[in-house]
Amino acid sequence: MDIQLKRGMLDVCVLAAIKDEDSYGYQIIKDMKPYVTISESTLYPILRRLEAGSLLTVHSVEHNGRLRKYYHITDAGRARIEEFKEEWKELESIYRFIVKEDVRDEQTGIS
Amino acid sequence: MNKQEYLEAIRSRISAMPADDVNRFMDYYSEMIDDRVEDGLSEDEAVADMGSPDAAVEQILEEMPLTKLVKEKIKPKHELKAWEVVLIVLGSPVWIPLLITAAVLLLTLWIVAFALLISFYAVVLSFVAAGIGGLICTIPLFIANSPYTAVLMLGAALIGIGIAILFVVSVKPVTVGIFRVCKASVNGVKRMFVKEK
Repeated sequence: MDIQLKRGMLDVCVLAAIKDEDSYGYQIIKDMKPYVTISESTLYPILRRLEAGSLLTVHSVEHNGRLRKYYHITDAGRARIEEFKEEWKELESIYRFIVKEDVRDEQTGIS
Repeated sequence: MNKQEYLEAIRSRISAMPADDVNRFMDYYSEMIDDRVEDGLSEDEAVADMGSPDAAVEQILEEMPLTKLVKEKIKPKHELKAWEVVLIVLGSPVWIPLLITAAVLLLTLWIVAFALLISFYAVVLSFVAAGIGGLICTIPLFIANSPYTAVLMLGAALIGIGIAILFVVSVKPVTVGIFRVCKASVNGVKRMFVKEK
């Protein structure tokens, strides 16, 4: 898939993964896995970027005698998700346009 | 590779980065391995799951702007002593030209790369133009009743178009290749800045 497109979408995916409750790195990867596979090295810059953009905040929680970083979505982060849904509608209509051409081509026998 | 070895492998590759960034990165990977172990994996399996240290480092290098890396590298680790300041000032006729040379060399590399690309396009375009021009010229030559010249012209035009087609096919890989070289050179420079000598 186009790297720029996927990159923007993964940002939103990570926000969606922490939307309902705070989550930590490994949990985020596991939650996303059924839908999209993402590696640790990919997730790290995304988290950094989202933190720098104040779309999420980070806090450490003690767990089994070590510190674990939890990510908490901010209002700006939620707004980003909503924004993405709006953008998606536009993408969807573009997609429908592309597919429509395909269908017509098949019907008229032009490939 | 166990957890300690893995983390050390990463640290050795980015040790010259800002200490804050290094620690944050190490914490992140340490947490990732611990969480996997808690999930029932053995330490070795957890590490194997993480991908190579090189791949991990490559990712943060791409995210980090070159200017930040340079700034961090040239920032003195301690307050400069008077004699050091004097040395830096006195040495400026040497190190400033050297620095400029290094920057110019890199810039030259990019200019050469893009010049190559543009000349490649020009060659492809000229073959296309010559081919089409030749084809057009064939017609008046036939009309002017010089069939031998016309056939010669037609042949030359077809050769031109044939070569052009061969080139056109390679336009995309050549373009992609040159862009990749430029990107690799930037990453190469970045790597120089994060690695301890």
